[in-house]
Amino acid sequence: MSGHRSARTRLIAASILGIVAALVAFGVIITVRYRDGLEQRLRTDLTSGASALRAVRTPAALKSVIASLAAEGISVDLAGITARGGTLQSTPGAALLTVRELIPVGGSDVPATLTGSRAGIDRQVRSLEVTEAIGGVIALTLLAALARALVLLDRAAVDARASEAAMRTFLADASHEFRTPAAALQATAERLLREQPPRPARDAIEAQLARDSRRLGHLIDDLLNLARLDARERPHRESVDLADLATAAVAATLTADPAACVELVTNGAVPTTGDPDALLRAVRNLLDNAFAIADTVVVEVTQTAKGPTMSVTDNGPGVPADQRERIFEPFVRLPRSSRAGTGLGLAIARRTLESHGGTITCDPSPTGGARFTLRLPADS
Amino acid sequence: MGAPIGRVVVIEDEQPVRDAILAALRAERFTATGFEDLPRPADALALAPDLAILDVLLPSGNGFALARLLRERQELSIIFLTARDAVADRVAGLELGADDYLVKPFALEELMARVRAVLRRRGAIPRVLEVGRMLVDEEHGFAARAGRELALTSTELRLLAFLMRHRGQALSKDQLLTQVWGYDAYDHNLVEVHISALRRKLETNGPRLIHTVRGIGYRFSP
Repeated sequence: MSGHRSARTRLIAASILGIVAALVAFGVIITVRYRDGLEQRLRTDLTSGASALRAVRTPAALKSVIASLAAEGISVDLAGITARGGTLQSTPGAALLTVRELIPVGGSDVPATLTGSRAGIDRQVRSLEVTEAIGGVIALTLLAALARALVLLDRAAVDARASEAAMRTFLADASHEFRTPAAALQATAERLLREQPPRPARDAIEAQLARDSRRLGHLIDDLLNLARLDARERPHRESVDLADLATAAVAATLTADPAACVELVTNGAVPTTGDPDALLRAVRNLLDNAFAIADTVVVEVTQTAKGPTMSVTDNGPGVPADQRERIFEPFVRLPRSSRAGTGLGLAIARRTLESHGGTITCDPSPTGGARFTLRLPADS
Repeated sequence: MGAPIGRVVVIEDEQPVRDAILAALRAERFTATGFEDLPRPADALALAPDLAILDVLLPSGNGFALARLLRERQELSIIFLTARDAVADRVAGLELGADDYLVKPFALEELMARVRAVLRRRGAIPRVLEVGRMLVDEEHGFAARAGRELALTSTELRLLAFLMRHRGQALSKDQLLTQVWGYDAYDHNLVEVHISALRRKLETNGPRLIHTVRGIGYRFSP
């Protein structure tokens, strides 16, 4: 999946770079052509200025032609007149084009030099460049936004694919989990029909039917619990004493199996907020889970710096390091673990804690068993 | 009815399913042995099975791998059982050369029909069912009594075959309904009508074969 994402994102980045390079090249071409155009026009202006000067017959007309030429960035240097009139200045440097002409002034031909200044062209080109730069920035901003949108869209598509795949896996797992007790029920019921066994054997087979029906019932209950946890965003909230909750969970375990070896360690009330039924179910799931593989369980409730905490520690074989996160996924069981449970207990416990703003983690206990630690936010 | 023929190993971790399969196999006089987890191939092969009925998902591994190991050492038939009906799984099973593939939950009679078909194909059991002077060839839909062909409908043939396979046992109408007609049939009349038709065709010039067992149902004995 991540390979998918980076490939798509790389493609988007490459396209954006391509567009930027094309824009820059386009800008350069526009600038060069613009400058060429301006120079061409100046050259035309100089030529037509020169013919205007040639046509001049009076000093007044000469002055007005020179003034209008100056307005177009063309200075005229009349070798003989500059000193007399004092109004004509040649523009120093930046000569673009020079046209020499002999013009009739006061009855005699005077050599004149027309000079078009590059300064005007430079100014106009610079202003074009500024416009291009502003346009470029705007285009880049738009492109960046577009790229971001594309990347986000891509990520959303990848996430959607991933969640679709997760849903498909979940459905395949769930159907497997349903088929197993259903197969047992059907096979056992058929056996009863086919064999018509006498009393003691019949009782054993009927007890098996009852067990498988219960198993199917538990599975349906747990799936519904999980679905409710997924559907509801905020749990019902009331003040809950974690110590009371642990006591109730241990009592329920002892009711189910009076011989269970479970130790409860509490030290006064540990208040938190949440749905007591949901939290009790989560803790009971942890206890059921522990007793499926261990024979001694210690439940400890403490108020730590991180808030209300409960730990459930067993003396079983422990959970391998690479499985300590996986076991919270639905229907994930450790190899060789009991098949009796629904495979949803830990998933339900984790979703319950998460919906309460808490956490649940699995660590090794100092003696090698498993320790599940629940942390909840303090009572607010 | 002679020496037991057809040796079957059943490798299935769900005890109720395994027990039901073993009971059904033994009721038809097959030699059946169960394993609740992957056996060592040698242990399974020590029984010289004709057929292995193998669950795909076992506690300590998957049945596909075991099937490959068994096949490498001995030619035997394999029927996979699975709770997953993904096409990929079916393909994997059949590519391994599985003879058949059954998705849970399944009807026992359906599994038994496939077991018989597989065993017949490899010659581990006779192609025809013979009890006394009655002969039924399920594959070819042929039935004969004392060498004379009987004109039976396919339902009558299936009913007769089921009665013959469970010869000597009293079978209830419910049993016959579910095992011959399937699970959607509820009408006992269906059984009665077909039994009387069978009797007419079978017993017109011979002794009674299908006996009424008062309060229970019927029993086939020659």
